[in-house]
Amino acid sequence: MAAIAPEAATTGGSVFTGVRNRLLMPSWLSIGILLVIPVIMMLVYSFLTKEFRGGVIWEFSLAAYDQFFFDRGLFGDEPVKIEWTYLTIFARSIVQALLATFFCLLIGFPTAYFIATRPPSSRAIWLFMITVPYWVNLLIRTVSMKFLIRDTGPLNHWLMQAGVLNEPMGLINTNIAVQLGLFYSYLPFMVLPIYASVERFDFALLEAAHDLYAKRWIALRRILIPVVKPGIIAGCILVFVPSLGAFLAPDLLGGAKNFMIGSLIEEQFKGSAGNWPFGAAASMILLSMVLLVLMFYARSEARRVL
Amino acid sequence: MSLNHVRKQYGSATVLHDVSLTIHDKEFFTLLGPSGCGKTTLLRIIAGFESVTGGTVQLHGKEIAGLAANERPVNTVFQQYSLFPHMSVTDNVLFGLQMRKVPAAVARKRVNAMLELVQLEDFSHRMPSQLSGGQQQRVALARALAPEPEVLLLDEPLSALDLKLRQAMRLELKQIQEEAGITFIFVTHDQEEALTLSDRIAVMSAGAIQQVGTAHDIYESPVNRFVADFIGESNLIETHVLEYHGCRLICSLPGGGQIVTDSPAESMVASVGSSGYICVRPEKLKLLSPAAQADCVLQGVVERHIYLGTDTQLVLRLDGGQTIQLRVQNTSHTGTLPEPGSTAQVGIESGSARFLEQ
Repeated sequence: MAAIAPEAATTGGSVFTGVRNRLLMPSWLSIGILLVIPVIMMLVYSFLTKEFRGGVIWEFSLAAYDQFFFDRGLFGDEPVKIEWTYLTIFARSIVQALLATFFCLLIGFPTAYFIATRPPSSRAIWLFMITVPYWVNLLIRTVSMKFLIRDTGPLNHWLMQAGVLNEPMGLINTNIAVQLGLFYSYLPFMVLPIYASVERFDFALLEAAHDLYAKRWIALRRILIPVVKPGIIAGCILVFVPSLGAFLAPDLLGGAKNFMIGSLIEEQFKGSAGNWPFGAAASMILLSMVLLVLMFYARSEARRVL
Repeated sequence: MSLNHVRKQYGSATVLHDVSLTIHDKEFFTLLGPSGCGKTTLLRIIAGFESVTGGTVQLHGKEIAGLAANERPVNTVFQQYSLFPHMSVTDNVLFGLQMRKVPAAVARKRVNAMLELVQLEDFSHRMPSQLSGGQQQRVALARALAPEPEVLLLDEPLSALDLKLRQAMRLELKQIQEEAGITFIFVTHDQEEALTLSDRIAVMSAGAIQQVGTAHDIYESPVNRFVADFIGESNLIETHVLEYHGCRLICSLPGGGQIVTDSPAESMVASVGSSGYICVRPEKLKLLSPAAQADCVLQGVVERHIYLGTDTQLVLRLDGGQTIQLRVQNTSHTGTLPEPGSTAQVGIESGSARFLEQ
């Protein structure tokens, strides 16, 4: 008996490991099929040669990346210059995404704080009210926004009637309109993670800080914000990343002048004018940038903990 | 520190009725009472987390009721410690000093001195989550002491610790208080804690102070039924006053005897004939041999024995139907105790009975 007991224990352990692996299979499969394989496909496509009516020819080529960064003239025989068109679109996308993140944080943090400090019974109602608009499709909401702010739309109409404006403010097809669209699209992604961490925050800590001679504002800055920082970071990532690749808001609200990287990629895969390898290359460049940002964050976090 | 006629209302509920207290410098003062008696509210008023509905709070003659918590030279050790989870032990202790804009070099020294005081020098770089409950407790104490408050408030600081640790921390707390030379105001519902630590104790109930005094005063001379019942164990025997001589009363005993009792004279309104209770501590009752003759004697039937280690508790049902308890020490020469069901005679030590009004 004594000899059997430890063996039984180890067998029990390995049976459990087997069960765990089998239970994890659906997760591994969905991550594999939906995440890893598409990214690898993109990576491969970005190094292939384009077919003129969309699609690819299976022939290795660096043309897509070359086209993104360098300008060799119309027939490829001029001295090499840096191609600014796409880099400008990239830079604009980054600035727009950063601004959207900033505004979402500016509005989202107080909102989340407000909701998290309501009595528990009314928090659910506030959260519900935040999410209700998002039950409508993003496309519909963005189109509605376009109707709302266009020159002949109700916003301009009311402001002119009220005497605030003499002529329509020409908001549509500007970077500001795109910004408004991004902000509106992704605000709840900022509010919800911050709410989750503020809700778990122990407000007695603020009392403790207050007791130790901290003024209210300093207590918020030195205690509340650092403690809920994981929620803030999560919110920023959840807003920044989709904003960077957004194409609905720039397409519908920004017009042709205010192109963002998402629209550029979308165009490469739409209809017969597309260039699949180029779209794939642009996607890969976007992806590497996002990963770089996340890596810097992970690095700084690791350093802070150590 | 003095509190004068402090009242606190939440809506229509009155949490504190007219509380007045004077707490001396460098005193270990305890607010003792059951949960919901208003002791924590009173502490939060002193700390500045709650406003008063009426009355004044003075520190060294200066009114502080209108000051915010961060403007009072008063620090708190919280029940759940409330250490800042994102700061190391050092940074936690440093926080109050930084807020007071103490020069960095001085502050460093002070932090080290505090960590030494609570014996945590070797843990200065740990995060609170890496500490045990007892260690967190010490950090909370060091953090609250570091800015040299005039008064330190402690809100049931030992209640989250297990028994052994609680007893060890109790002694340490007293030592630290003596070393630091600061007034401590300590809130607890644990009477043992209150009795062992305090210079003086205020017993609270239902939002009012019932009695203020030393541990000895409160245990030996409770002023009312609540205090007698709440602190330690008491036998409360129904009685009525037979004669009245200043602060000495002669009261009836069930079974026809008489007894001389003390009474809290200043608040007495009882007169001859009025009924009340005789309060006697279980250890002040003595088993008598069946043949003994004595004046102040109670007769009863033994209901059961309860073995408590150092002594045995006897439950007796008196002739009138009331039950009383007495304690017999378990020494090697203790004779056999009367068996349950047999009758027993109990004598009351002279001078140990106290008359309490209804």
